Amino acid sequence: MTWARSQQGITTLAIVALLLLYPQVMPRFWVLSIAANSMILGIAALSLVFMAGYGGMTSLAQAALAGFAAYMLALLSLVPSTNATGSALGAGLPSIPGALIAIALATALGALFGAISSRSYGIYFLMLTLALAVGFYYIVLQNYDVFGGHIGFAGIEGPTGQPREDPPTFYYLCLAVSAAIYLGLRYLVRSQLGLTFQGMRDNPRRMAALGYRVGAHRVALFGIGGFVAGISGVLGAWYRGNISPGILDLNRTIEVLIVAVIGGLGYPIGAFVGAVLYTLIKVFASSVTIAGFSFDERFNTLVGLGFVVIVLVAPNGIVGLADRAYRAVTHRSGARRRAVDPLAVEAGLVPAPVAQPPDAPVIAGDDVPTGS
Amino acid sequence: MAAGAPVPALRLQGVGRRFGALQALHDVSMEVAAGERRAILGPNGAGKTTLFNVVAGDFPPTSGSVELFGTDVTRLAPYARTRLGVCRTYQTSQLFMGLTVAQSLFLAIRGASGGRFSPLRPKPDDRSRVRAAEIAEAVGLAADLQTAVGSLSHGQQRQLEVGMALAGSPRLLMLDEPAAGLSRAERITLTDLIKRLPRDITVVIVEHDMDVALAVADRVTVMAEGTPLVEGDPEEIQSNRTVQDIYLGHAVGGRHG
Repeated sequence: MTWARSQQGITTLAIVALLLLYPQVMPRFWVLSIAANSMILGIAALSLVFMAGYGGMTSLAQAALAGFAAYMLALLSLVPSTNATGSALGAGLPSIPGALIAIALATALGALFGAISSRSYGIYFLMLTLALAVGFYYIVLQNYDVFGGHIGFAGIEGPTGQPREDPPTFYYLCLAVSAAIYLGLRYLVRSQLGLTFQGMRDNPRRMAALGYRVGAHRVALFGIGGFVAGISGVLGAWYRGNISPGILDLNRTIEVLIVAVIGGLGYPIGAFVGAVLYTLIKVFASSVTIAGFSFDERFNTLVGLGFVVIVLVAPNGIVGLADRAYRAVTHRSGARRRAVDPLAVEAGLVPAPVAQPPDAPVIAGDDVPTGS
Repeated sequence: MAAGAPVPALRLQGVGRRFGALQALHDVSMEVAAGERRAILGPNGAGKTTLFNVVAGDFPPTSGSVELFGTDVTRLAPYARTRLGVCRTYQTSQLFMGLTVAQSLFLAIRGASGGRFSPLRPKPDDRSRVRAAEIAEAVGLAADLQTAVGSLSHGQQRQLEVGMALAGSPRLLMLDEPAAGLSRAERITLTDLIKRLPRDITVVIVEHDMDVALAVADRVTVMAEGTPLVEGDPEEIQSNRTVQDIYLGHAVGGRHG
C-alpha cells in the first residue's frame, strides 16, 4: 500500500511539474489555443460531469450558463462607449469584481433553472434544460439593445491583460482556477452535500423518505453547476476578448456534452481529458488525410466518428477505459500479494471499496466440501 | 377525544385511495397506540403497501385524513413526515447502489437530524458516523461498512433496508415485508432485533411470514380488498373464522385434512 501510495504521489508530482513547465517551453499557439482553450472548455464540461455523474442531472444548459456569465461580465466590466453597438450599457467595473458578480449571477440563474426543472427526471429533464438553453440563446440574439445582437461585445479584458501579449500568465490563471475547481469538487463528493447528491442520483424517492427535500437539493446542485459553468464563461470571455451569441448556441451545448462523454461522465478529470482531446481533433482535423480523404472543412465528421467509436467501445469514456485497464493490470499483480475474490471486485460498476477489512478470512473456492 | 387520553402514534380516518378505476383503499379507519407493535396482514392486493405509502406521504389519500402523533399530516410531503419521526422500509429494496453501507446509513442519520446541506466532510469521529457503525452492528452488517451497496447479497440489502429506517431515529417505524427473501437464520435475527426495539418506538409491520409477524405483534389488523376486516390480538386473529376463511383458510384446512 505504501508503495502504491508513493507511486501515486510521484505520478501526481510529475504531472504538476509538467503542467507548470508547459508554458515555459511550448510555443504560444500550444499554450493558448490548445491548453488554455482546453481548460476553459474542460471547466464547462466539468460542471456537466459533476451534475450528471454525481447528481444524475444531465443538464444541457451548461453552455448557456457559461455564456450568460460571459455576457454579464461584458455588461459589468465594459465602459459604455467601447462596445461594438455603441449601446449606453456597461457598468465599467474592474475585471475581478465584474467577474465575481457575473459568476454569482450565473449561480443564481443555475439555481433558477434548477427550480424550474426540479421535478423533471430523465428525458424530460434533458428536454427542459435544452429548451431553457435555446430560449436564452434567442433572448441574447434578439435583444439587440441589451446584448448587442449577433455582433455581441468586444474589448473585454481580464486581470492578466490580453492573453496573446502574455500567454504564460493567462495559462497559469486558467490552470490555477481549473485545479481549484477540480480539487474543490473532489472534496465536495465525499461531503454531506456530495453524498446527498449521489443518494439523489441513485434513489430520489428514498432520499425523500429519509427526510431530504430532494427538490431543494436539486436546486443547490444546479446552482453549483451554474457557478462552475459561469467561471468557464468568464475565462472564455477574457480568452477571446469578444463575445457573440455563438458562445452559447446549440453547437456549444453539443460541444460540452461531447467533451463530457468522451472523457467519461463518471470521472471529474475526464472533463479535462475530453476537452484536450476534442480541442486537438478540432484544431488538427483540417490537416488530417486518411486514405486520400481530407478532413479539411470536415472536422465535425471526425469528431462524430470519434464520438460514435467511444460510445460503443468505452461507454465510461477515455478515463473509464484507462481506469479499467489499470485495474486489470494492478489486480493481476495484487493477486499474488493477497487473495481477493475477483467476483467481488468485478461486481458492480462502482469502484471497489477503499478499505478492505485487514483480516478478512480467505476462502479457497476449490476445497469447499460438496454434499453433506 | 377525551382530555388526557394518550395521543395515538397513527390515526387514520376514512382513508381512501383510488388509482383510476381501482379503489386500492376504501374507508380505512384505524388507530395505532404509541409504543404498540401492530402487524398488518392480508392477501396480495389487500392494500397494505398502499396504506404504507399514504402514511409515509408518497401520495395523498383521495379521501379521509392521516394523523401522526396528533398532527394532521394528510397533505404533508414525505420529508416533513420523516422529520416528525416516520421511518419506513420498502417491499422492494430502495437503496443507493453507488454508495457504501456506511455512507447510506450516514445519509439516513443526517436526513433526520439536520446538517443536510453541509459542504464539509464528516470527521472520522463524527457522531453520525459512529452511530452508523452502531446501526450496522445491530443489523448484522458491521463487517460490510465499506462495502458498496451494489455488491451486497439480497439478504444483506434487506438488512440495510431495516438499518436505514432505524438510522432515522424513528418514533413510528413502518416495515414493509422486512423478512421477504431472508434465510431462516436471518429471519430469527430480524425478529430478535424488532423485539428488542425500545418501547418508545411504535412499530407497524406488514409481513407474510406468520412466524415473524405474530412473534412481534401486540395487535393484528387483517385487511382485504382495501379495507380492514378484523382487528385483535394474535390469538384472537388466529382463531377468527373470517380471517381463517380469507387468509389462513388453507392452513387450517391442512391441519384438519
